[in-house]
Amino acid sequence: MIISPIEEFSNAIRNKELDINNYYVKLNDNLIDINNHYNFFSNLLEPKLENTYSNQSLSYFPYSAKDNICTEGIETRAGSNILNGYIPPYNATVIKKINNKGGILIGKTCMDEFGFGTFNTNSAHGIPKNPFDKTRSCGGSSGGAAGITSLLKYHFALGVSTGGSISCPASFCGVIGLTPTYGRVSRYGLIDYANSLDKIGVLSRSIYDIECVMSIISGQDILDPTSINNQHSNNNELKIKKIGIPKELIEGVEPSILKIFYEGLDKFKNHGIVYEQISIPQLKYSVPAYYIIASAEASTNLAKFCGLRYGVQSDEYYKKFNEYFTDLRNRSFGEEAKRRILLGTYVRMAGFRDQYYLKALKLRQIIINEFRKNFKTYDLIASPSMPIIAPKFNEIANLEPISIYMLDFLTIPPNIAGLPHLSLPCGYINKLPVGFQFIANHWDETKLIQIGKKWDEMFIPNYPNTYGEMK
Amino acid sequence: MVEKEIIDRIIKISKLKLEKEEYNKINSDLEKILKAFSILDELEINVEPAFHSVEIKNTMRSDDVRNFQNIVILVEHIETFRGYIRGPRVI
Repeated sequence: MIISPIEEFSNAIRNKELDINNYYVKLNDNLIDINNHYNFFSNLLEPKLENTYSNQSLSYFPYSAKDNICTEGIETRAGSNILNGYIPPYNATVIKKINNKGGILIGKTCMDEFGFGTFNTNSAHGIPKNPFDKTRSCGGSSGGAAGITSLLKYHFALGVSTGGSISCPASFCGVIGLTPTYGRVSRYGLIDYANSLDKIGVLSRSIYDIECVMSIISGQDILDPTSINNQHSNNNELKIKKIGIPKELIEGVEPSILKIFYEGLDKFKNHGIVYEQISIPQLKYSVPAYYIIASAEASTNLAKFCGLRYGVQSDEYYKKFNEYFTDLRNRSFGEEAKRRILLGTYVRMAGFRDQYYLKALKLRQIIINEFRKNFKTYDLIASPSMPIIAPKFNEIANLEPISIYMLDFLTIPPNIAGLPHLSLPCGYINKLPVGFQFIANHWDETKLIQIGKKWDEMFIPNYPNTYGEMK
Repeated sequence: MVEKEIIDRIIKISKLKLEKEEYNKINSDLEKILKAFSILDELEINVEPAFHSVEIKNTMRSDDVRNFQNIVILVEHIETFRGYIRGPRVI
């Protein structure tokens, strides 16, 4: 019988083996120290403990939230200077659900500005450093979330994925990251990057904790019309037999990563799970299609940040309104945000709309159709999570934007299709983690949890350090 | 090659104003990005565009009038002048 960290924690409280006040005093000291070294949090909080939490399923369990998820009374900046000083008067639905179950928010985690990035280097509020090697990236855009997850046993992080922002940092930091089906988790209170692609998910060291948290945050929400009521089932009898590996998601991956990937897959053979290569040629178009859709939506979402209704205000009221808005936006947005606003505006312009935006939306449908066709034969589709291990910051500085976009070719396909996917740590190269990613059909998160539990029986992950122990 | 006139227009309608160095860099980046995206030109696709990845049904909230009670929250972080929200010049 496996006891998950969440169960272990609540058992300790129920049995009065853990003094919660002392625990949080010590944890807070650790977190201040960790943050000084790694910069995982854009806002580290003084936890608020209330007596009522001990009866709840997450009784006093620590969690963190990416800084684009609104938290009542707590500054929420989405990695952007344009939101400096924004204190939401309400909680996002996910925060409300977790708090109602007794979760304790320990901090808001660092991210790329509005989620625009693969390495969490486009952040206005500090760049998180990889816990395995401080000269390397945590991945992005949920970099802070993955970084802190790898150092805390009793904790989960709420992350957000638009094109791979959970799988990528989970892979680079050696933790588990689940991105659910689009619409399974309410986006109410999430600061939008691209509405048709954004998904709130969970990062943790434990697949069992991810299952528990998903059952809490899933479900339809009247405040988010794109959320859908499709119950998260706990069907433990489900059998996974066949996994498909698209050759388009293998080409271009570093050989040392492929070796670990296949060694991991081979271990499933003893459990009656086989894999074979398949081909989905349309996947080669997924990166441009994704960046067109995501930038188009981002450019419209970011139009509202003009320093009046949304975003920081300036006192330059003597300026004419166009000059006021332009100057403020210009000095508040980072370079990548500007690049995506311009790209998104371009692909939506009259004359280019059909060539880029509409074509990308049609491609999304084709990619969805191709995945569905394959899910008739295969229970899951797999690939490495990222084609490289976490790069060094000086290597990232030499990469051009288009080269960085192209590195997302493994995480974009499930994201553009709204398919649930799970990144699991599957091995190490020079002590740096490598992840593999499993993709399931829409609403089939149960299969991902099943494969994660199987892997949990076979693989013991390494962590750089462990803080927040109960003893 | 993106024409200068078009780049200038999208910068203007995006309400941005790039300094020369930033202008040249972003312009060059956009060219490389669009060149890479030209792989889509070879495609002829005859399906309906997918505005969402899963089927979304329009859900409406009930049409009840609810009074917004906490007006203080609305203007707490906004600069006001004699009870009006302050903004830049319009004339």
